[in-house]
Amino acid sequence: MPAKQQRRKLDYVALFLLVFCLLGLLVTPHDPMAQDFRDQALDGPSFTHLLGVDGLGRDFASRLWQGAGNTVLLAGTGMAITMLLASGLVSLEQVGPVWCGRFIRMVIGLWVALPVIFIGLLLLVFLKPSPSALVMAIGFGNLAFCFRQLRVLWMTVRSALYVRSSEVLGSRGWQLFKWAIWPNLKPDLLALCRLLFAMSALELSGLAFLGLIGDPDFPELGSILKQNQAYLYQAPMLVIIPGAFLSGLLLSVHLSRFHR
Amino acid sequence: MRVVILCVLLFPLLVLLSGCGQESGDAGKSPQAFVFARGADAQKLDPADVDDGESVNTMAQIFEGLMAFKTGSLEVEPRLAESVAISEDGLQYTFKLRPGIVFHDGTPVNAETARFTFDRQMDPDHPAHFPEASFQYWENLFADIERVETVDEMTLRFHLSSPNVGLLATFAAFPSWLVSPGGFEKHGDKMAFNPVGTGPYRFVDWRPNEAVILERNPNYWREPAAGFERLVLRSIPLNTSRLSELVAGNIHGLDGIQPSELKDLERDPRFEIHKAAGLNVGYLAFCDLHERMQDPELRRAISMAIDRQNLVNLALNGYGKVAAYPAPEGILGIPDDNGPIKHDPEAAWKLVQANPQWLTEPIELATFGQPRMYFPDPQRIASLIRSDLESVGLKVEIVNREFKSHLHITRRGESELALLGWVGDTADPDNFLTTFFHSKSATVGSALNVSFYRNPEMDALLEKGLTISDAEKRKQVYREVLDLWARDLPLIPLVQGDQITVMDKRVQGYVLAPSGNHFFGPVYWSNAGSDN
Amino acid sequence: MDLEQQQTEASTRSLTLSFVLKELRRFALIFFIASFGIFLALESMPEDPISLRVKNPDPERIAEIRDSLGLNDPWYQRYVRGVGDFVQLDWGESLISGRTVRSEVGRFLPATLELAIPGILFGAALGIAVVLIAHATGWRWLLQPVRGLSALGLTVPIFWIGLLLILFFSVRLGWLPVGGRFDFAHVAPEGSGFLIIDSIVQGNLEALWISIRHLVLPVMTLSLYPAAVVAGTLEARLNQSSIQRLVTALEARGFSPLRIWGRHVLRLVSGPVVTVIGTQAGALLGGAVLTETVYSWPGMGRFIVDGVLHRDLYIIQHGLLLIVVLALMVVTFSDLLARRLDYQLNTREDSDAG
Repeated sequence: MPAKQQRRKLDYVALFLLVFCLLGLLVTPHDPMAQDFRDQALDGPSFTHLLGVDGLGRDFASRLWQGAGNTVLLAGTGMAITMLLASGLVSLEQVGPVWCGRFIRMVIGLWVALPVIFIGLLLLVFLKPSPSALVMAIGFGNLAFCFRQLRVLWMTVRSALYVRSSEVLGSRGWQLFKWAIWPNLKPDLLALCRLLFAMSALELSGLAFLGLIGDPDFPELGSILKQNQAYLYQAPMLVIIPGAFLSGLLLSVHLSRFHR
Repeated sequence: MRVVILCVLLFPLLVLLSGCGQESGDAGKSPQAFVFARGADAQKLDPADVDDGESVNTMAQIFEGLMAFKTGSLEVEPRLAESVAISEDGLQYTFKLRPGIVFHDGTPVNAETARFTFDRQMDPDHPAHFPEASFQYWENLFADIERVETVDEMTLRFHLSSPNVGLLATFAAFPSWLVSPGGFEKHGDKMAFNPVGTGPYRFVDWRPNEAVILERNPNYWREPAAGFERLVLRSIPLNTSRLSELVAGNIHGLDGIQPSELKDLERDPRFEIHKAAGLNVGYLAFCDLHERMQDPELRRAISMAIDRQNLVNLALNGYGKVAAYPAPEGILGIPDDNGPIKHDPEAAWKLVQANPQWLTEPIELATFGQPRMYFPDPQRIASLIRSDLESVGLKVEIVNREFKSHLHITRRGESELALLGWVGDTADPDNFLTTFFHSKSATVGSALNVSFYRNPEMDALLEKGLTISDAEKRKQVYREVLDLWARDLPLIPLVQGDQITVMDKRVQGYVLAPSGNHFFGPVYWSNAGSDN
Repeated sequence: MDLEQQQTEASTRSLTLSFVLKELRRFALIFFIASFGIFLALESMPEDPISLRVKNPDPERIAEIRDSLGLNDPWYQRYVRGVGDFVQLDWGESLISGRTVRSEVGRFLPATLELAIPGILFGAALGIAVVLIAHATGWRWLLQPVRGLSALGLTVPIFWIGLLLILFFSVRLGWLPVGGRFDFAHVAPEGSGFLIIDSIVQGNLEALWISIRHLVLPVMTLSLYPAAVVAGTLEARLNQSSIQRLVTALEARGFSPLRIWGRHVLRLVSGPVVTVIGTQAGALLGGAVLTETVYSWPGMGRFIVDGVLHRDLYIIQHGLLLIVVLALMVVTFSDLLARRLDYQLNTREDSDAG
């Protein structure tokens, strides 16, 4: 029982953190873009600025909060794109003609070999660098991984004894999916989502760290870290906190998966 | 599980608590090698075919010219030449070469071997005039040279088609540094990767993206000879990593530092910061190809809204100054005052209020990622400008690209506002003003005049300025050019960035050159420097 | 009996042969898709790579260079020529540095391999060791760090941990170099391009020591991810009931834990481990780019990223294609290896190698 309780607790922590981060998109104590405190640039924490002021006179806590929100939102969007595309491809592969399935598997075989960063770079050869371009990069980048995982999950569940049995008992189509397949697919699917979310968030901030996000002021944890790198020796907190925050966030999401 | 969370939280804390200003490295021992780091690798080591600072700074240790800049100034003195004579009409330059000097490969320096450098740039049929090389500097700087003549074994004479007062100084600039013909015979079209010159250090090895390795030239002809056995020029792209190497004591000097990183180094007794005004201007161009930017009132509003002193304070951290005019202070014809642009956000606000048609959609401001001498962090400049413009009511969208793509966009005039800069090749006003304002450099696709400012009156003035040799009269012409600029305001000069080099205190003998190049020949190691 | 054996052997051989042929066909098809994809991306590039080369672009000169490089030919000619050049290893010259792309790759690829191979091996060894030890000894507390490790590898940004490691080990403690492959105040060994191999071959112990010191931090950083993935996969496998039953059976026969876990179980689980490393080759390469950036490592990742950012045509075209081919080879090879190691994969229908 305590293990289960702990899992619940971790789930709540992760959920709370995610919602908390997303809240940063709506409200922050100060405007994360406004350089209202230029005269206090690089000042340490105070009552009005809980985490101090960054090098361009912006409230760091507000930037961090909204940055975390953006990271969660963009990584989540990327994850959703990946999931949608991958499940579409898996159904096409399963339902469509044989040559179609073979073709899909072959392209996926190619896709696996292309790192997300290179896909991002290739996209940026002809797209304007922007958060949406990065979302596309991670969305497409993780497609192969997600496709393979989804396919294995699907095959395992589809060929499982209980599914076969209910098929024999006359369940078909939507009924079969709803009653026999979905309940068994759901937990694994959720686990895959958590993993994909962490991958997307890391890739997103990695690309942002390489400076490919477009607007340098765009609050996102990776780009905040990049922008503040210039102050590594003067104000190391400005670099350490965004990374620690991202790690903590992803860790809480990740850990909620263990006690399933 | 708690262990893990603790680990994650504790490690950064540990790093933080441990502080960063820790002494390390072995004090007291003189190193055999001098290691210097910069943000990018050299591209080619052929003086005739480069335009990046890293290549020039590498070649500055290997090559020398007939003339050279005096240490720490823009005045020239004979170097490989013993003396130089200019004929009365200014059409003949006669160089008497210094006897007894040999290139690193043993080829003696005489009139025949010296003219190789000039022949190959001038003559398109010369075997060393490689088709893929650009030789652009010859076309820009030496266009007046008609032919080269070997008078006797040690005398070289240049014949000009028209007098050119600035030519003597260009014999000290890197495109005219002497290259050994023996190097060409041996390496052919790969000579750019096997440089052979006469300088204090000679080439050993080049590991791309890692380091260029040089060693002492034992036969160097003058004092002081090289101060180290080896000279290593490393390339470390990430600013933070470069600084960390310095703080950890693994390298002895670096350039291309972010000014914000200097605050701590200033207080650190182990390092010495060399800084001087740079020959550059960073500016904001209004692209005339966009209808909105053709409105002079909008240009005026923007110029009044931008707090340029604040750019210097927060983006350059005081290492630089406000550029009052579109060419650096101290250049002929550039006044020594604060310029015509005033910071007046209230007036700008009123202008914006009176012109709501400016607000239909956000103004696009193009910026780029890589640091330049004029903008050590172009993105930070952009965000400060955006903040200024938004506080007077305008709407701005920053578009950040890599430098090469940014150049492409600005050369085609695709962005309404663009941040860019110019590093002077020479200290002549024409080098800046014709680049910025002449209509001949406003061709879409290859423009250097990225405002696409076209004004026949301006063209005439700029062309007139080139033909006058009398300094006072010339100054008058450029005053008129500046008046035209202030009236039409095709661009706002923003800042003039300092050139900054950080060295270990024990490295002695380093002097900043106004041309922006590093000369490590006279640099040596002294443990006495570490005591203070 | 004898005849039967011969027959099965022959059928296995023909199976392998047809399998290899199938793989080759697949490989060729994927190669053409990939090269065409890269070609399309380059075609839709809005900038003209030639005009970006020089400070003062001169339209005539640009047209001349374009002509000499054959960039004005129709697209199918350029595509076919590009593929032909790639296959013949004639990869053209970098527009910016003028060096041949081939010689550049010859320098940067060994650097990346010297970082990536120890990174993967160390990571995998770490993951396997910790999990097996935890299970073999029954020290459940060791499983906590195992989970911690795999959690960390999947949740900590590489560039951030890299910066922290540098701050701590290099700047604060001064134990290890900050970045780069070698300290060029000393003479680097020449030869294959692998500094470690070269210094061993030449018996240069000092150079060996220097190269190893430079490798420690980047390898640690890079190995975090493979360690996590391997540990995670192993954990999941070891908890399967079939393995649990096997262990119980072997224990009942009185085998020592070392023999059970180090030999029998390890052999059983090595297949999935190899597969997972193979399929993660792409992700590892992505990690290598960030690691190379943080540690100023002169490798392929940085070379290609710079090439793309500088719009250096032939580096993008051939370098990127080479990366795809190499990663594909790793995936295919690891599939083959896993097939040998794991009998289940051979019989399972759902493996997607078909």
